[in-house]
Amino acid sequence: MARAKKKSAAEDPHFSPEKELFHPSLPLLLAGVTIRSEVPHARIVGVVHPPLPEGWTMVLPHDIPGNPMFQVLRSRFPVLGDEVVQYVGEPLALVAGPDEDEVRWFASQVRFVTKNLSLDEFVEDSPHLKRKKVIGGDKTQALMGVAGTMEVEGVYSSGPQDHGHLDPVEIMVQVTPQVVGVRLKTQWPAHVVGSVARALDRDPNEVKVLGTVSSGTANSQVWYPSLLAVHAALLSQASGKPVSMKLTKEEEFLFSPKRPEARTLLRTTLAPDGRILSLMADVVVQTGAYGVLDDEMLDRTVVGILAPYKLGHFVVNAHAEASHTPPRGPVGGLGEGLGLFAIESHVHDLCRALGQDPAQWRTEQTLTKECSSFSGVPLRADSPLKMLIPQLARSSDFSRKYAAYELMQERLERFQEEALPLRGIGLAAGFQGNGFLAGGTNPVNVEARLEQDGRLSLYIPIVTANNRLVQLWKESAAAVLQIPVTDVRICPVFTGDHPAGGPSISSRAFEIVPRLLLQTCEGIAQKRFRQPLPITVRKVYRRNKGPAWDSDDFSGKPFLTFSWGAAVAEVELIPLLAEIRIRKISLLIDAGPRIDEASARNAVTEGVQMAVGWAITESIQWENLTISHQSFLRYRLPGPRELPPLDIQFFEGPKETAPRGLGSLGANLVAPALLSAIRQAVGPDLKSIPVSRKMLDEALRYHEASFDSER
Amino acid sequence: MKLPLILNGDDVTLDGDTRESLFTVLQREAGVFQEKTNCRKGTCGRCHVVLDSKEVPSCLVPFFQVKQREVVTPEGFSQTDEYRQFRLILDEEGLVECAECTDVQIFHLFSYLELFPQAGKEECRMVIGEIPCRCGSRPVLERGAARWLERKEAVRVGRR
Repeated sequence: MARAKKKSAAEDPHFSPEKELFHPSLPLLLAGVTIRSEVPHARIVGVVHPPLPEGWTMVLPHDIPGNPMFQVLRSRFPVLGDEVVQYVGEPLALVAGPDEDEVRWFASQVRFVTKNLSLDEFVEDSPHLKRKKVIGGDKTQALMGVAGTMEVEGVYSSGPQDHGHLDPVEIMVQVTPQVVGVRLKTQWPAHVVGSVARALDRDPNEVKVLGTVSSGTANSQVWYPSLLAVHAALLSQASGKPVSMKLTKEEEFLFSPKRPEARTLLRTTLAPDGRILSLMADVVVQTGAYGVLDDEMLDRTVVGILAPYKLGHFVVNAHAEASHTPPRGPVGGLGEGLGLFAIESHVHDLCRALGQDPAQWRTEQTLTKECSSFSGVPLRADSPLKMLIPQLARSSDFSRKYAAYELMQERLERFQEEALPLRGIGLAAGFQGNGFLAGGTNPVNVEARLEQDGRLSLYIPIVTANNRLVQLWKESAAAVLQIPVTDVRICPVFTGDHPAGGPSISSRAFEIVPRLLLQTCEGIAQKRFRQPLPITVRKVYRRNKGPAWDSDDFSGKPFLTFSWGAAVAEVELIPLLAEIRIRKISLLIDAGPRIDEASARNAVTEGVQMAVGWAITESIQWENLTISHQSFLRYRLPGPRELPPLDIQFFEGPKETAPRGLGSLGANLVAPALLSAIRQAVGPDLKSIPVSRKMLDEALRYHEASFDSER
Repeated sequence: MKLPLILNGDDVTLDGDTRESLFTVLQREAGVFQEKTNCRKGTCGRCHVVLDSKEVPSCLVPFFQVKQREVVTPEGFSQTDEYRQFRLILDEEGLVECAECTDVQIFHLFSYLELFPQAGKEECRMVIGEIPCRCGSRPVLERGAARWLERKEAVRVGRR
């Protein structure tokens, strides 16, 4: 008897990835392992490996059927290092077999014959060095007629940071003639689709990605999971069997993208009344091999430096420096945190030089409605920092404590002798930029379908673990259509079932999705009872009209929206132990109305934890262009001893309707506030994070020595 | 090798290799930890089980050691009344669930309270902090644990 022809998965709208592709008892599942480079920079001459057992598969660069280059926005690099290796750990080949331990042993036996190349090849005109020069205002005019100016200079640096996810990455891919099924944790399923389709030379409609949830996004899963998905897909294609790839914790720590290191030299010329007449900045952002997302990160870093305060004239020389180390990526924000860290730490120095209260100086020097932004866009209102800073300073008693701890600093000698704890308080203000500068991301779109049985299916291309947010989406949709919440279903993020979108960043989940959700449900309400069911309505978010961002001349509006905030951190230091104890962290945030108070607090708390780790506990050391094994063993997320009571307040602005993102605000603001507090306690010489015990000890000894010399 | 054991209160026989860890066998044979990978170093806390009243990382326990022993997994614990009551408290406190750590943290906390019923708030705070995670749910878990202890104390005083 002839059997009915089964619909291909790509055509079937009810194709279930869980049932068809990822059943737990999937037969013949192979374990895939990446073979990595052991040298930082070399030309590959050949490869030697033991005989491949029967049923095993090995993939080399020339086996890639489609495009061998992996793309993230404007950045491109090889899926598998082909002729020239650029960093230790670069994927060079892939192997899959039935038993993971045996495959790992085999991978350890594969040897690439290489000819080492110079490690300082990056010359001035190298494509690996991205340079930007931004100039604004006129220096002569800015300095004209001002007497008694003062110059302040400082170099501020911040270290790398791991995303710190509890779960190592695990990816499962099954390639069949009809469909490519991918299951993984990602913030950007649409990017996985594009990357896999390009590498396998398949129609993107045939690639179906089931995105599973992870903990807070921390923006660490933007592009890296896509690369691993391509690797697993290549193995599955070559073997004809489903492949699972798991990174070990160590592998992931050593080679996954880290927050880029940054080093910023700032030199300001100040008027006697505190105005910044001129600012000169020299910024270096370390982006690792291939400079992934270097445009985005560099622009954001520079915006972080220039956006908060009035500047008479400025010159910024910024460059993203590639090196023979693993590519960096977005962790805890996309870059503005690096710039804010530098400028806010510098403001600490400015205020000390001027003898002014940092809260007062900041309030006076933030932009007002008469000003234009650094990029030439006229402001319609005063910067929100003008209200936030004094309000937070009052509620945290900042000014009184700052003055008291300044006095304590002058009497440091006595505290040293009596082994009393030293105290400091720091303030930082700034913003989070919502949306990508560079474009090229997928637009956010939401689809709602009122089914024939009266139930509502929502297709939202945002991967979130936030149960409260999901419940709120359901409740708001149910309220518009006046149906029970139980009749609203959020469909799993599965590309092909719904329009692609991404990446999932908190500003999109909180800011754009609720708006689109309301619009789609209102669209259905209008058609309901007039059209037969099912009714489908889709809404796509389009960026507001306005001066678009021009990365070349730094003009236009950089972000979709800004979220503003200020943070105060108070620390105590026990000199004998050189140990920092954070007494309290207070934040005041202006990110529009909250659609869920608990989710907003959770997001800010997440950012604060990230900042505490970045500033104090999370240290990564490099040894021979690779992360040292000791760093892996000793890397420590902040624990209950480091995390203080948090006082998170939200500013209630007038007439605001839409919430804005706040996921990176905690990370952007608390790290500079903490460093300022530590510097007030132990002296101004500490200018880099993370602040290790050794650095504290040295700072204290330096002060002891300075007292001795005064005697 | 087939070994009998008590898994989440049920007598079961699981089939595994001597080289395999308890985690691997539980995942494959018993269908627990389906959505989880783990660090395979005993540090992440994702694969913890209670083995005869003691909490252990199942990725470091050889399968052959669990013969005739009692194993409770987070999945098993999440079916208990204790878990449900605690989750209600957490929901009231505004828990934003973390896919990676919430259930692990609760399991870890209650395993500790099982061994040390007299533990105080500060101890619970430290126990919660032992499972490292980037998510922002820790303050909510700490508040929830404090309320749980207060409730237990109230019940104890009431009995007296």
